[in-house]
Amino acid sequence: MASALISSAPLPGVPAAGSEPSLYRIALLGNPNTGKTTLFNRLCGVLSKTSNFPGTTTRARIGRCQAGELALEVVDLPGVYRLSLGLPESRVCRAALLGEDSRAPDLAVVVLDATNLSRNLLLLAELSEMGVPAVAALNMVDLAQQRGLSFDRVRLAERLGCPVVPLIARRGEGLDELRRAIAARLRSGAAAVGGERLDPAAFPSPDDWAEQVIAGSVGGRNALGSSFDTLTERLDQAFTHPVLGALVFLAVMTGLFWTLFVLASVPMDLIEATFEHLGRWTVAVMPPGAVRDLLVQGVIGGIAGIVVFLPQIGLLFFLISLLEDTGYLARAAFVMDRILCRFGLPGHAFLPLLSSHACAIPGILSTRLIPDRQDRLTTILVAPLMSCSARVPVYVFLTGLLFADRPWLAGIAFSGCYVLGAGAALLTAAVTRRTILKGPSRPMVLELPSYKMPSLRNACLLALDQGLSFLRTAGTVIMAICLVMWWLSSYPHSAPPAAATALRQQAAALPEASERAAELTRQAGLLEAQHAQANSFAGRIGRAVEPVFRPIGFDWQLTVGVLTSFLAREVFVSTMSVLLEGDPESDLQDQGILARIRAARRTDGTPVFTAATSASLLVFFVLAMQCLSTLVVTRRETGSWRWAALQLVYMTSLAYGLAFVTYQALHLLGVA
Amino acid sequence: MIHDVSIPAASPVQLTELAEGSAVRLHSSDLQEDDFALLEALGMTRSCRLRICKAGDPWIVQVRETRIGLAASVARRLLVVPDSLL
Repeated sequence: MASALISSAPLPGVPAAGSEPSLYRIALLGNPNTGKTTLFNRLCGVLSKTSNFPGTTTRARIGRCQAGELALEVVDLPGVYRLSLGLPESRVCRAALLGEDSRAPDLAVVVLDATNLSRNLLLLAELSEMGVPAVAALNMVDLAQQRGLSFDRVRLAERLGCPVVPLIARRGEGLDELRRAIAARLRSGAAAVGGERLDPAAFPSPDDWAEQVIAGSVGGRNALGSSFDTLTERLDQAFTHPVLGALVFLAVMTGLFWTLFVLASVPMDLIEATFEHLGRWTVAVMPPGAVRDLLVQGVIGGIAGIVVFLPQIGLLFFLISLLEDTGYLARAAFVMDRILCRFGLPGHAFLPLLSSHACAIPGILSTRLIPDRQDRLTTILVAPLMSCSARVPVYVFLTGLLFADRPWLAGIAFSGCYVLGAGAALLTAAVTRRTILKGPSRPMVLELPSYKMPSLRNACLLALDQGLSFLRTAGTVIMAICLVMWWLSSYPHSAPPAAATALRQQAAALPEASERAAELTRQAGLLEAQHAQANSFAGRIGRAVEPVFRPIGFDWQLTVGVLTSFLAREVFVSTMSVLLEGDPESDLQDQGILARIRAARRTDGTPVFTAATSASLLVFFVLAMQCLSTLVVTRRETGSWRWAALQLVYMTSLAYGLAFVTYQALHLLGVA
Repeated sequence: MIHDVSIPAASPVQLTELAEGSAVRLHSSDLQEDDFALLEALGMTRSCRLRICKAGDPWIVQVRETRIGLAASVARRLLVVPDSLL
């Protein structure tokens, strides 16, 4: 049966399946924070693919490597404490090891944390019961030796009944020996370690078995008892302190947020500029026509709209990996849990929600940190309510219209948008946990891993993996949607209106460089753009739907702007530029242009942008789901279009409801 | 759901009644099945010895080599026996 676990295409640089002597499947198993991912990256590097375990949204990484003559397919299973737990990760690991939904592994490599052997050995006991052959990779031996531990690996191997290979995965030490042990185990089909194996079934509990294994083979000052790490104690006191912990958290998150917002904008601007140049070059070299329009506005525009997300996604996962590696993230989760649990959200939700201020897409992707499914779903549902960077041009535009001569009021309104969005997210989460995802947030129980230096290599590989995964899955759907929206906005073509033609004729009769000719040409362009937009399918839909939006103060032009911005929020500003200025590149920060827009009239002579309409628009944009890319990612992460549809419906309803209240209230108060 | 893991002679108390630095043994818990299973998987097994590293929300305990953070609502549901009384 075809399975998401089995890679369907050969990876570059590695012989295809069937052309080498044999292809063995190896499962990497271990507790969280044992260095499993580091080992996977060392063995397989960038030669890996990410997919889902069958029937789940749990991610699987599959890579290829060589062990002597043998080609190995390595499956990185999720970190689990026990295979018998009811958690999704445990179920996924059991199913994978038993070959329930895919080919069973030929061997399991169990990554053990040498500093915490008593707990880590329990997985080996469970594997023994399941009859899965294993090799033990004893990782972090350097840290264990620093704590005074010593290992008799021969004795340990005898008692476990499987080869034991000491490793320092983050330095790449011990990998050759591990490959040799894997190859020998696969060729021989038996453990070949000799000696007296301790059978877990012969002991009252797996813990008693683990104690006996350790007693005979691990020595040192703190072989069985607890070791006291003073630095860890002090750091934990600081990072989880109600006041100091909150201050540290604020500093770390400010740094992360600044990095995401500011640093990522450099490559993002570069990407936008590159595709803009590409579009202009294409316009210059290709003859005008449908093919050129499709290429420039549909394909190039669509690809740009996808690729522009990559810097933020890559940077976010790079930083998350670093923070997680240090051990700080687990402590920070507890700091936020005190606040978020009141709204039915777990402490883990802070990072996705904060990241959503840059962009909801990486924010939603980072909800994978949240172990409980209900908590994760709630966070995904509310994350887009956090004001993202795409809303900023709209906020600036609308607050500029509302408070033209009072920039300080515009600033307050701008900040108010962020507060409204965050408040709506928390309240929606609270309501969600009392209704469709009933139940309190799971109380936090979390292992606090040792503090250590983060791995830049792991962080880079994770960022690359997440970026490529986004392109492969969400990117294809987003591209298709971009093409559809472009077509709706561009077709059918219509002949320019007679008034525009007349204006052009008047301009042609004047000297070329005259101001009057330029103004007439500008007015002609405005009429043509408005006419084209109004007669496009998107425009016709806007006119047809206008009665729905009239109660919140939108005319057909604003309705078209709102509808087209369901593709991406920032499209609203360029749509308004086209409708009101005839030029999608108008500088809406220019006071002269803003004054013209403020003075723009509807066909009945009333202003397009009254104060009530502008306020209503602002509220609408704070709360509405206007990003198809986010919906696609929601569907991917939740495994169902149902949750994406719910997100669209509740956010649009919330936005409409509050915009209605805002518009009608201001109207009743006599605010025009 | 009560999980009795041992019945020592001393009376059990809530973990949250003890001070930082106390050494205790786990007596019982009234946590949900899944939450207790996770604690067991982390090493909080039958009569295991715990050291209270930090008191207050979160509580931090050490079981063998594992440091575990516990929300106050979880810590309140753990009944322990101070080690010195055994």
